[in-house]
Amino acid sequence: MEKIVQAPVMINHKKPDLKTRFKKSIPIYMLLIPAMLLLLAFHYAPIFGIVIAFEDYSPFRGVFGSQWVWLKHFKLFLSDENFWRVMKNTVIINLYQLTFGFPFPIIFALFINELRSNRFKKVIQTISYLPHFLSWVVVASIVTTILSPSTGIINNVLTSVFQMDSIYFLAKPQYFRTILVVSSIWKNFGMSSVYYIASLASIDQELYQAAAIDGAGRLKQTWHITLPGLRNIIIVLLVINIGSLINIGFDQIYLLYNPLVYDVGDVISTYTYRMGIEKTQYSITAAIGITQSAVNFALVFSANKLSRLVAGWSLW
Amino acid sequence: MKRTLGEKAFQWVDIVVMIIIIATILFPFMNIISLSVSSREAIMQRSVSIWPKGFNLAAYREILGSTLFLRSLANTVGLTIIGTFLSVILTLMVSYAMTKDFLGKKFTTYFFVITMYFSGGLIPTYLVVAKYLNMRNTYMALILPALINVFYIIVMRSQIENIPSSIFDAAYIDGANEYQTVFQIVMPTITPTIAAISMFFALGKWNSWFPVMVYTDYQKFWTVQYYLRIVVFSKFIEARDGSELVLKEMQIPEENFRMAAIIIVALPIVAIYPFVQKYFVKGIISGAVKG
Repeated sequence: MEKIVQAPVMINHKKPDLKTRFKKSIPIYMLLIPAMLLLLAFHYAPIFGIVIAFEDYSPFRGVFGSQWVWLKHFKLFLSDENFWRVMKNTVIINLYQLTFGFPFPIIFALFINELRSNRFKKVIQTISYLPHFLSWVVVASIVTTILSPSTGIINNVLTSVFQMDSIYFLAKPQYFRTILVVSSIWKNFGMSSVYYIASLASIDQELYQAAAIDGAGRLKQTWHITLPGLRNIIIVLLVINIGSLINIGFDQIYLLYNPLVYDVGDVISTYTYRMGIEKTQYSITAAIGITQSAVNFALVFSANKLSRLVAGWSLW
Repeated sequence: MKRTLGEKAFQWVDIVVMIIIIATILFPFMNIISLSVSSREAIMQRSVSIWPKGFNLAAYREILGSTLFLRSLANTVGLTIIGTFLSVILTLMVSYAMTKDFLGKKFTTYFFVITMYFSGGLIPTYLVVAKYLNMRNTYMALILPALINVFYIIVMRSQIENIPSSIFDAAYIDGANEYQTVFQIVMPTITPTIAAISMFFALGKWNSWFPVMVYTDYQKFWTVQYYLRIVVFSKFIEARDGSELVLKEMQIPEENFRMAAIIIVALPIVAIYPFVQKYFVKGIISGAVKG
């Protein structure tokens, strides 16, 4: 009995000194160090490496030996019309993706939700996920194949059924953005609909029964119950999308574009790649990178503010 | 419940719409499969749509027998297995450590979380890997930069926090050290999470091609994705037509070859994804809840 009473008294409530705490933490550090070293090398070193944006960086002189030029490279790209062209393309293509690509998974989820056969639902959903698992290399290969002017199925139809000349779609500026938007939707709508289908499943079924008793048809139920139920998830995804308005995936455009459609299809990421890695303009592309991150951050921040104002709901 | 005529009609419209959408996903695959096995004459006469015309497996034989493809496949498999294994082990170690109390925990948390919001961008990363770490033309450049993803650490840590503390107490009394606890106690308890995260990592690594393009110069580093990129997209050549830059499609007679390459590279994913898609769906939904 006595021992049990004594035990709590023996615990030292004073915080142990640093040295003891450090010694006790060593096994934990051992678990953390490999990952932290990797981040230090491949994440933090590049973050500190952005100082080259303020230098006339030359690989031979190195980060510390190159001449410091302050904002020279920022002024340079801001007065370069090529930069404004890719900036414009990035925003326009993203706005197209948002306008057409954002509602599509919502509509798809609503249609899936109305299906009565659960088996059919499962089959449709599973097939709709397929393109998400494929790399952009595979998807871009498929796009190039079906649009090929010599053997592509679309041109086969145009030439044989409509007696038209075959069109080299990927080399025509007027079609390029449409191709980007359609192929993005094709690749992503299935997986994106997952968010909405999950939210739909969590809507209280009694609401529908109550509405039905009050005489509301399916359409009215969708408008008054289903869509309000999806509101939160729609806002979250919209905020995330607006936050990446000047971020555009590299893979899709790099694989599909060519010099003939640079005017409408060249975006910040592809431009940075060509300038930086192919033409070794390291300083100016690092400056573009910094600007892009800053604008991104501002966009996420304001989108979040806006959603708090408009919808009373925000990410943080 | 009785259904109105309108509801019945809508059900049929719904089914038809779904079938059309699914057809747009499946038709391109059927078209490419057909092209890959059809005879050259049929392809050139543009008579192949979604059913093969003629039958010819030469392209498949040629690719599966080519050293370059097999080398790319071996690289892809190797990089995926090694990369996924290391990624999962590291994620597990960090996630477990972050559930413990230790000196400097706050700093460590910031250290990891900051990497989710800030990055040096393409060019500084390229310079560090290629010029300062001298990893050009090494497998290290294809494995190491992409090992850590803090998002998965957050997901896994919240799973470890759900493990009842009595399990850890028992291990502690038995005298297990932290490594033993991680790999013998934590790992078996959260197998479903580990399986899901492994699959996310593995898919990303299987589909990766960009590091091969920027960090390597030799064919011996190719992965299947990069192989496909070269096979399919090298058919374009830039040519000067007077002063105007034009693109020409090179007349490679081996259309079958390119189509077969697409199918061979896509096939493993097409075959496996129906069995693993539920992990991805769960992962995406729980990610949305956390995010």
